[in-house]
Amino acid sequence: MSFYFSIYSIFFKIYYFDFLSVYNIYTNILKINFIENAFYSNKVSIVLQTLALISSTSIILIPNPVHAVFFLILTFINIAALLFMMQMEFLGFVLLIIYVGAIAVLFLFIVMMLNIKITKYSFKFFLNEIPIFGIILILFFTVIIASILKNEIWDLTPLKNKLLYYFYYLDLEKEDLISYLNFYNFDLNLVENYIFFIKENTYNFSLDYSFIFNRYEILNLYNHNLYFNTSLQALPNNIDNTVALGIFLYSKYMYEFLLGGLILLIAMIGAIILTLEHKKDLKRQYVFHQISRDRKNSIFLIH
Amino acid sequence: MNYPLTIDSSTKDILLFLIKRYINEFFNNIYYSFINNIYVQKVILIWMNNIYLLHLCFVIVITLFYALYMISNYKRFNNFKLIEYDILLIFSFIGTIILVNANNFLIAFLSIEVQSLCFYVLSTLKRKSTYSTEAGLKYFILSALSTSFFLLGSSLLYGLYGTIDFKSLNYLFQIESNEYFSIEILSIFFIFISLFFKLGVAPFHNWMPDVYEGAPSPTSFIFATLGKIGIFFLLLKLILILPKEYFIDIKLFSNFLKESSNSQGFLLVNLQTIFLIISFISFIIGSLSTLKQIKLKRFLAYSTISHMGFILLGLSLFNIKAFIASIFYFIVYFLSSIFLWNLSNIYFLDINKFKPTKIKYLSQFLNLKTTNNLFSFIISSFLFSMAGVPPFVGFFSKFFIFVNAASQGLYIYVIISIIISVITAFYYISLIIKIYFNNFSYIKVYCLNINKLEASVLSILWLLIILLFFEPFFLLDFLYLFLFKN
Repeated sequence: MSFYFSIYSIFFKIYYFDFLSVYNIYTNILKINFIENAFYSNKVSIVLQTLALISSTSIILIPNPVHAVFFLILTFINIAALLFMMQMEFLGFVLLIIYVGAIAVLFLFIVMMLNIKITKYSFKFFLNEIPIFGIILILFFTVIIASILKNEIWDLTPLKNKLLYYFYYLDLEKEDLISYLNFYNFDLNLVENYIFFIKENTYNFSLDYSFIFNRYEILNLYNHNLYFNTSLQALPNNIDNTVALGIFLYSKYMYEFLLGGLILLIAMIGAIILTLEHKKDLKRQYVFHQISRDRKNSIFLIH
Repeated sequence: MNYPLTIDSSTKDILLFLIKRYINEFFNNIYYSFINNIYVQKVILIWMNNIYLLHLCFVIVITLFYALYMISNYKRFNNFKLIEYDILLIFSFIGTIILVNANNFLIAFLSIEVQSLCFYVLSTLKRKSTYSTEAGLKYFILSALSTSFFLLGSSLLYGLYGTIDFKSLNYLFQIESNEYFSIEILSIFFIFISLFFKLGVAPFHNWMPDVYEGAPSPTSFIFATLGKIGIFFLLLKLILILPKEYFIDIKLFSNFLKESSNSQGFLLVNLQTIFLIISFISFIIGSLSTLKQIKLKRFLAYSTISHMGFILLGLSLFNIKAFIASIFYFIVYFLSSIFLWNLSNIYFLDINKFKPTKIKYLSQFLNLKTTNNLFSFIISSFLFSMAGVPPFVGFFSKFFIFVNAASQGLYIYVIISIIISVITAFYYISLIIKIYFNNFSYIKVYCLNINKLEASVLSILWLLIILLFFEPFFLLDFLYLFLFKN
């Protein structure tokens, strides 16, 4: 692959930035699911993929805007179905709820409220856009076609293998090791430097995976605290996507979960402040005035 | 504390422990001098994750209280009764505090969103004016786009390395292998672009003057001070994560010339050149566009662009002294911006209109010596410091950055930037001329009323400006500890 890129760059005298890495990263993430679920060979998946392509292109080409929104919804449903097949059901449900249930509905409301004219699509307008469109096509498809022809799947194993060597030595996770090796005056052989304080969980719930996240605190003579998280070997293999997310979201990433809630609160407050207008003719209660009544304010003489 | 402890205690013991550690660090017999060069090993981190962050949080709290006072003043003189103004400000404060203490990309993203959502709403609370609606729309759309860039970069880094933790990424960036991915530098570039959007650096500055002008004046004060602290320190952290080769010698780090390697692409430009170009553009735009300004808020907003250019110059040089110089410049900018944005929040009675008004136009500074002699003196001192005149700190803040740039070898860049900074000095001193010197006798009928609280705060800032000129190393040595202590 490097040979290809070197020729490409020397011939055109440009330094070509690797789009291929982006593609390979995302394929590397989905590689396991592809192989186990027969993503390429299954007929339903092929049908869904073609339908997704067709519907996504038809959004642009169809003159009627309402039909275009319908095809948008169709793309989202196709992609959600593909995600279900790849054992990522949570993402599929999220797509359906948010994209179809909120965003496409928003599109429909706007399209219905505005008087958009149904225009006939003419090929003349497309001719002006071919140069840019062509460049993007060439850059995108050379990468994909080259990778398919070479049958290459890009592994990030060289980076991982170096760290795995240290992992087997100490039976720890990556983040543990990194915090561990940042301190250079630490003698691995001295027992004095290993002082563990274990925090025990006393409750026994059947679906409680919090024992995974016991924290071993180590206080070193030279430096400050080190924190070790235990490994994830205790998890079973056949866990669903939602169960795994639940395990981590409500135990380890609780803080981030609460911040997300705070963001939603701020959005609600903002939306209400910016749009609410009290009617002035109506009678309503002003609680502050009601509560701030004193003995002096309540009684007065009428002449 | 050279013995093990059990952490099975109540809050009182924890507080005592923290206080003792805090005090011990001042009495350590280690002195980091500004003159001597310090050698840093590759594995040791320069990391600002220590107890001196409390100072930063303390400063943020103080600005928050002053902003709340400013908002109460605003509400009194304008018929504005919403309590959510204060509530949203406090939520933004939460976001900044979390962002300053962040060690993940996830928490950084969430805290940036908390902070910026509050700011979107705070800029549009004046529903009757078109300026504020314009400001809110522009700010919302553009900063939402910038956070999408942030997410993209952080997700790509996760895809490469499997972590979002800053400390672990520092270790992983230093690994030398046969494969090199240029996508990691691109992801870092995306993240930096998102942060430059929010700081208001030159190619990404178009939203800033409109937003700072249209928003109510207390919120513009907050944008200029609190809105920049968290993002600046996050940017610093991300630059400290990177190894030096990413900044300066990227071609040598990527083995393009080796045939045996599987190097998939490489970048032409180092990050240092990008930073320098951006700072140069910000110098030019920030200086030339303030000359035509008539309103105070737009004037100050365009001037911040040039200040951010100075800070990026300091950050582009991957050197400890340069980082400290940039932090020093940011602190000086912070202190002076508290004063200058407060000018737009002072209310006085205008007899021609017979209602409370603010300083909105620069022409309202004419002949201010007759009514407010001392206040005009203090205004002139702050403006001299921003221009870079010696009795005040602004001189040293720019001096340190230029010295570090020259020590790195950027002589022509320094000379050109000094020539351009003369323009910045010009438009600050033109204000002083308007205050003190004018040929036509412009009769002034109003006087700026300043309360005791405002006077105390502004006088303390003035004292800081003068004392830091005579002893800047007091603050610089503190910043050494801030960066080095793990």
